[in-house]
Amino acid sequence: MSAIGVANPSSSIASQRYVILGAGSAGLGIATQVRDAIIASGKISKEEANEKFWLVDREGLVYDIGRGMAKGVGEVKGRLEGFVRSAEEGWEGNVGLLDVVKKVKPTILVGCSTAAGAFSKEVLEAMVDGGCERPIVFPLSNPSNLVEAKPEDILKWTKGKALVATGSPFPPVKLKIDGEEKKIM
Amino acid sequence: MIVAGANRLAELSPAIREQVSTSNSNNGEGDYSGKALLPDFREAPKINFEIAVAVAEQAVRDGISTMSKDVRVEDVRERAKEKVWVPLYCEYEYDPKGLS
Repeated sequence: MSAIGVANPSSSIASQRYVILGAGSAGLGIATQVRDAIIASGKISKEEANEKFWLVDREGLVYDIGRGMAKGVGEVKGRLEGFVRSAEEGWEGNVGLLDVVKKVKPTILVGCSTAAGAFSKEVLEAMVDGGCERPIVFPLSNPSNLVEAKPEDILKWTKGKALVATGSPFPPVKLKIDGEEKKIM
Repeated sequence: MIVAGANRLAELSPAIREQVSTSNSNNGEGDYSGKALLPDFREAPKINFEIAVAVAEQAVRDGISTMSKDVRVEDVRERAKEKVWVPLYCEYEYDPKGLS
């Protein structure tokens, strides 16, 4: 909520595009909770709220492959329902995080995957190139050595534009932006 | 209730508080200075209390609070203060005779 307020005070949780790496209990829990908060805000319907989320797991984007199955996760049941992307969006094979970011142009990237380094330089640059002025990036995995990207790297690769929060502790980052040194907590 | 707690936490974000105070003083534009999105851990007791109050107030508004029905939203803060545990301990004196 605070990241959205800083990135674009006139926007809201309903107007974001969320890419979540990790479709396990953490990823699904986050997607469900945020989706429900969007619905509670009264701005859009449940179907429209579901559409704001792209879940990516070990085998890539979670999308419909017919007969009640989703790519990479198998049978679609429970909280996963609603978050499985439609095949009509044109997905084929294993769609990696970088391709998802390039196509979807997310405003918010959340990591709960324990896939160390998954938020690579290319992924962050693609997020910025997609037109996102203030990428909101939350690599939440624990412990520190499994984090999707270190705040220092995220801020370097996005030239200080990203708003970062983590699940593991990291020290403040000192960055030189346009000649001015800033300390980012 | 979770949304109420999350919204209260966001209001207490150092980055948001700075944004609010800069926009009040110079009519809007201010660049993000790098303030933390979340409050410092040292402020946890105070922040946690604020979130608890926000959640309890929402429960009263939603009619699902387990307190008596005559508790109003405005009363929640005082009630909550009474319930806060503070780590203050009594001084103990050793008695060699003990309980015998």
